[in-house]
Amino acid sequence: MDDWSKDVKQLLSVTLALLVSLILVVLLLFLMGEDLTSLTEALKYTFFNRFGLGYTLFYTTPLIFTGLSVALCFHAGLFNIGAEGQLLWGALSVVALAKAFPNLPAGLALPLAFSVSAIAGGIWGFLPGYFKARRGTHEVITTILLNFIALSCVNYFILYPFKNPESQSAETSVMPAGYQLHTLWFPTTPVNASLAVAIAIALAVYVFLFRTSFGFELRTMGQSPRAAVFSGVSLQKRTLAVFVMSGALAGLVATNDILGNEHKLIEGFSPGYGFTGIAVALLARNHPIGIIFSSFLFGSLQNFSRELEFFTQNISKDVSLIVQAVIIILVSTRDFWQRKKQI
Amino acid sequence: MNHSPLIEFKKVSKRYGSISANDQVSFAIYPRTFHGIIGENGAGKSTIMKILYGLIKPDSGEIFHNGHQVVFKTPQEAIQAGIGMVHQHFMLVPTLSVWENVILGLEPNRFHIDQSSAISRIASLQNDFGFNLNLSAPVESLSLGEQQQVEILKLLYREARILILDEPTAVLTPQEVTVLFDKLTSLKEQGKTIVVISHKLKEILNYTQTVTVMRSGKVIATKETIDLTEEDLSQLIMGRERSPLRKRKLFPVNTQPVLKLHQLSTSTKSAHKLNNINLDLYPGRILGIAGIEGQGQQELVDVLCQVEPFTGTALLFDTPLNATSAYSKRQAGFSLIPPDRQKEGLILNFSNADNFILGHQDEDRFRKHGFLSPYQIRQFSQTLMDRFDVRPANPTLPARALSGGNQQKLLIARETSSEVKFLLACHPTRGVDIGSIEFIHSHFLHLAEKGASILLISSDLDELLTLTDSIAVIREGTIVFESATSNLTLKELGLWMTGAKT
Amino acid sequence: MPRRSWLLCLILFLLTHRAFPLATQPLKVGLVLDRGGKDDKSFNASAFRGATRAQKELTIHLKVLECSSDSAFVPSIRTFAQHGYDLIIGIGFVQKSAIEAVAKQFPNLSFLLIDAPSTLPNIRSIIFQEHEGSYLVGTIAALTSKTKSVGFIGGMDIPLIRRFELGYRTGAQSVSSLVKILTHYVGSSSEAWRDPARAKELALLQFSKGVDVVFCAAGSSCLGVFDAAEERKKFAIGVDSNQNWVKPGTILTSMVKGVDQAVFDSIRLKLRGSFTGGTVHMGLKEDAISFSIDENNRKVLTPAVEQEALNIREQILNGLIKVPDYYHLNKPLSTPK
Repeated sequence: MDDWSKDVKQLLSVTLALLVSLILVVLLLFLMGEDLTSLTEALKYTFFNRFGLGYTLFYTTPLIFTGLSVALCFHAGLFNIGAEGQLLWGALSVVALAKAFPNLPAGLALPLAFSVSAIAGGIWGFLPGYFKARRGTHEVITTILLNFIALSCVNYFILYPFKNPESQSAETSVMPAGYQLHTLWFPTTPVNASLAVAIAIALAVYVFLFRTSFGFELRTMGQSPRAAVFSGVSLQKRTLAVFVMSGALAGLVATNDILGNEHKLIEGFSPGYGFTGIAVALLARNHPIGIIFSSFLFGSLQNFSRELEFFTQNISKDVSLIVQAVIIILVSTRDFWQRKKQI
Repeated sequence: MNHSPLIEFKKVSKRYGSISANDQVSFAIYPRTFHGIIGENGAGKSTIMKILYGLIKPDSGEIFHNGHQVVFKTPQEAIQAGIGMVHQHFMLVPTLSVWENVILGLEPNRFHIDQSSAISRIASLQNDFGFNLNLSAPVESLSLGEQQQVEILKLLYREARILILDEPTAVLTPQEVTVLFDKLTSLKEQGKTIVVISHKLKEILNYTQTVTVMRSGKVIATKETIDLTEEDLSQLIMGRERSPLRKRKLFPVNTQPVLKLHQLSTSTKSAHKLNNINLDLYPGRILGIAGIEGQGQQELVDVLCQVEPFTGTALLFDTPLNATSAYSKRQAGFSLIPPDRQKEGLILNFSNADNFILGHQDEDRFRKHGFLSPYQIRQFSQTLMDRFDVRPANPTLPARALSGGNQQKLLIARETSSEVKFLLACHPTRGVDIGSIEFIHSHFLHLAEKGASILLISSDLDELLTLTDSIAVIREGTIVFESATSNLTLKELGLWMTGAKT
Repeated sequence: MPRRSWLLCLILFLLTHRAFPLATQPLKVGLVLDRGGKDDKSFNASAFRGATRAQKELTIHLKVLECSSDSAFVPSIRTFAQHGYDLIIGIGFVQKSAIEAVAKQFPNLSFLLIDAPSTLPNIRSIIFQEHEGSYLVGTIAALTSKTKSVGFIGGMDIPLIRRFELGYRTGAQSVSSLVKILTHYVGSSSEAWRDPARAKELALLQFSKGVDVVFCAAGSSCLGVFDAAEERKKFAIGVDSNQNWVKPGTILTSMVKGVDQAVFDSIRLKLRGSFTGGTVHMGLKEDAISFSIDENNRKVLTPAVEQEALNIREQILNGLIKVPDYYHLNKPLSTPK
């Protein structure tokens, strides 16, 4: 089932790609006339102090959720581009829950909020699953379109029924204390308990995919739908189920950003977590444990590029975006190098 | 044949990990000969030809062309040198016409194609070599045999002097096979050199002049065909004598059919929908379905696997098919060897062990504490791989790493590991080497002796004639003929299949 | 071309290496722009101008961060705070909660918040009296209009922009009660600040209904309005920065909000040690709100109209004219058809 030598090789090539990227960044800094200490400072504030690491981990959490969401569908041969919409409903549902039951104690409110966000995301994931299973509509089309619908609907709730009357921004009111997750290990950073939940869920998804017959069937159907049918799997039921689970995973993003950080829903709070999740899943080759690491890589890049912008003089937001893109391309290109050798 | 060789391989080797695909392969192909390469699946026949053709890079060794050492890095370079290859799966664009397919990739000008000169050149080629294809017909409207001729025409158009054909008869009817080999023989007479890769003894013996026998990546012998008998050749291929199929002990007569199809029709718009099929299959009996490819065999499989809706009656184990689920059907003793083992029967990217539980993933014997237990699954598959002689017998390797014959053995091992009452076997020996064929056939006999019913869909008429109790011929979705096998000849079957006899 | 870019790199290299070593510890100022970025030709550009002016004239250490999403405010502000920046400036009401969140955690640092009120002791918040300036440009619009029909295009429909609208409406109607005023908002979400196509559509709609002067308060969406005005040979009025140069001859004037001045002044206060928290209102009186006249609009803004506008400005300053403030209005504005 697992081929360790392959994993080690993969790890080595990622490391190599990261080294090459680092050299490129140094070169870029040199050409832009930057002090090289800016790089070491930026690295320090990404990995090597509490503040930096805290933020990196904070950015990692939502990507684990969306990465898992996308990967789960990939395993079943389905392409979920709708994580973005699913996570929006997850976020909204948490806010709605807090509005409906403002006085719940944290011990009750938080578990409820986790479940509700997953359920809301799952319901939104049910729709493309239903269209795919019953009507044969391609999930890429439905998930993209449902993203637009989710965005508009959730924005409506943010702007009208749930709007914070005190604020001119498009945001909801701050949720009561029972609904706030606080940072545990990294003061002044928003990293919170949902990171632990994310990692636990990644492990659970691993067990689900590789140690249950349900997961086995999903992987079978992803590899060959006909083989799955011939072995007695109902593609329709599995498609529905996997989309619901996928949506639920995406919905959990809210626990990190809404419960853990802002404590309210801001219009456009997700900087494309659902889409980055696709890259995260691909980089990890859809392996649930790998997704923890690739999320960490993407999370640290997000933090690193901001820190780099901060510590340099001429590196603007756009340049650091380029750096980020170059690193991602290099790291994912290693697939290309390997494939080519195989022929 | 004393002149110098056209192609000569000297100690060519190619390894994939621990598996040696070609091990110090040396032999020569002489000009204007019909050269056969024979061996079991995975013997390295295709590999050595793909190395010549520039598709695979060898690890070591040399190749000489007309006495000069050559290394073709791409098929284009090989074609430039006059070497052409027809692959097992045709590389044609179905919607384009014959002439368009022939010139594809050789358009003289990127933006303009001189249609009339291209057509007239191809027409004169057809004339010279005795082809008779409608050049403006779309390729998808041609039979598989004709499509193969298009592939050959492509090579002739590229002025290939050496034509390599990889398993050219796998998809052809007996009649088409004759046509193909006659054509190839006449090409040889006109100065071409023909290389045919095959694992069918009769084709090699009847048509080739020289034959190279390969086994496990090595060349065992290169001989004049005329000096060989069928027994000699099969011994060279397998490294042992062929054991004749034993006589089967017939299971006692039982009047209750396992499978009963009555006026079964499908309604989808597919080209060969089933029309009023009536079939009865009794316990311990083997019923063969003969027919040219695509006459409704696929639809019949789909109906039995419940992926195709139908009208009429279909009773399996006395239960209507549409009243049962795929799962409970399997529980009741339904087993399946699907037509395309690589896409429908196995998951090539999964390990052999995982492939062993496909369809049985819900059974408790593979679980521990409610979760699938990799250890138990490995144990189970190791046992079966040993018993069915699947090589290499390593449960952790992906099924992709197995040769076609071993993949098929794995599939059959899995499908017959629990109690079989009804086995739907589609082309169980297609692309499988002789040694494995023997094994599979005798296993089928064994199952039937224990009372399993087998519905055998095959395009290999020899197989049908040796294994079955009775044969039904399917054409255009209808059973046109059914008879006890003992009254049938190969020729008669061929006539029924092509519609010459109705 | 390659030689040129190498030269550029070399120059950059030399410049930065000479500029970098500053022995004394200068005042560290962090500026966080909102999603418009420093090139929005308007609100953020103005703040950036003020900060860079302070960098030149007051020798401070300045670092500017742009945010690509609303969720980037807190991390950016917090990064500054974490590195001990003395003064951290947040531009735009959208940063209010972010600034407040960080200010609570870093009570020893000073924060400047533009466009939103705050009660925290270490936040200085600056509210501009946009309604006064809007009243002025409203009169200019009505006086210039030949059709006696003027338009208003707002960005996101929020009280801040309603405040612009109310001032503008009152100003236009003060010229004559017969002046028709058409009002549209680009949208109700924050995308409304970044949707020039929709804004252009709205402007064209207003022009087709007879409007010939339109005032736009919609961030970078206004660029669409300017386009429409140029195409139809109508007038547009710019906002926040002096935007007359963006389309000379088309832009009648701009309602200038002295964000640059406010930023510069606050930095200077901090430098002198007299920075205080609390909400500061800045309007005509402080010269923080004005309408712009320069060579780009000299030809289109007639001296008569200019004179009249200056008169009204005097009257507002004297208290003879009371401009209604949407923030202090209890009853909602009658919604436009």
